[in-house]
Amino acid sequence: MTSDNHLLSEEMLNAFVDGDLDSCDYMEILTLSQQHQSVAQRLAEIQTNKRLVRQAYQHIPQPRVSHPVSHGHSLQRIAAMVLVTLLASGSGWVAGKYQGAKETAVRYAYLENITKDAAAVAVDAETQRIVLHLTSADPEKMQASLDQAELILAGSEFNAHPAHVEIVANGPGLALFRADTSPFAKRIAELQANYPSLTLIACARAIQQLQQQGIEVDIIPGVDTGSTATERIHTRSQQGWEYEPV
Amino acid sequence: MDIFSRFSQRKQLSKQLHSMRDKLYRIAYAWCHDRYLADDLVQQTLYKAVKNQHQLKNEAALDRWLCQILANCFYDYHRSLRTMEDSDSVDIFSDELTDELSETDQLVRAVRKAVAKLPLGQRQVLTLVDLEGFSYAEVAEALSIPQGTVMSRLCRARNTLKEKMRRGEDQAIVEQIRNKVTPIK
Repeated sequence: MTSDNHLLSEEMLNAFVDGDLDSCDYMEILTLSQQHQSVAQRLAEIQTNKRLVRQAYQHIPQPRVSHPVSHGHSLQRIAAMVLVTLLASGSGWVAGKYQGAKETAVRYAYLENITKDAAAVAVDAETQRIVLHLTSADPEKMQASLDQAELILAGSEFNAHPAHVEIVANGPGLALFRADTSPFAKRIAELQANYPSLTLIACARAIQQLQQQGIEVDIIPGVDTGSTATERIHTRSQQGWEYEPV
Repeated sequence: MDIFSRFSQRKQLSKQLHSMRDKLYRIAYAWCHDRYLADDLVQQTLYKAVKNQHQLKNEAALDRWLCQILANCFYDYHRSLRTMEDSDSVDIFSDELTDELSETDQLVRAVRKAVAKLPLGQRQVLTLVDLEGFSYAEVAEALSIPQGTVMSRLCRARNTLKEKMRRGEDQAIVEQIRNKVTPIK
């Protein structure tokens, strides 16, 4: 490293402040900063800005939804684990369910930290409950969300296993549920008529944001506008629903 | 490995993921400055982490792995947004500002505004180093970029930030409060 303080690169000074130099370079810059006021000033400026950035994000706005913490095993949880284990360790017909049980177990491992409703694991083995999350106004993605919902619901009728599907749209994805922008309004009406267990959620926050921009938002009839996407997804996660971004 | 060992491992991972939630949220917020989007991104990140937990080879690198997933979720979001709206036209601070701000609040606002206007790559590096104390090597791993790129992006980010803070509309208040900040020893 050069000992000419004018040629000290900003990158080296940054690395000094961030503690990302080897001891040799560190000592050399430290010595230079003691000998040259200009080096000390440059270092001080970087340090101050680093402190400012840290300070600016010390207290950040929290999402409205809180995430409760797990409080250890309950009898229900242990029962659910045993049930999943039994499903997973069986043979013959049960073996066919093994993959599904494993998937359920994976989801459960995550959900157990945000829910105490362990019974959801057992219910999942029979009832499919899924939230499809749409954040894009890409017509292909809009169609994909509707296709996926229909596939699950039609399949559930076929297999005589109940299924519940929710499509939650926010951000640009809200366009799917706006009467003035949706390319699929007719299909949505058909799906609603055919599948009572299909729920459609338009994010209240996304609607509010558009309204704040002076845009009149006309939502397709039958689409729920009572909660934000985040709230809804969190609630459904707590209840053991699967989550699938489209 | 029996099913109980798997459960035990998953339980351990879920605990670790839960403990990382706040940290991830802060990073996501510093990248997008929107509490709802940040929460969505964290939700997606944790979901993907659970789904792909077998890809985590080194548990000690969990935070970098999660940042990698978070960054990918954010890139996906940007890609989907690019054709839809001009993000510069959105006032990202509209929901958290009041008319009467204390000096500290004004400084916080000025810094966040300056950070928000940095190019995404620079913003990511700056926040991982300054907020989370990642080393340059860790940032390189988390964002899948060379360490030299980390250093140059950080350098550009800090220079831009310095300039913006110097000549911005909040200059007076920044200078006033800058004097109150104790330099790092």
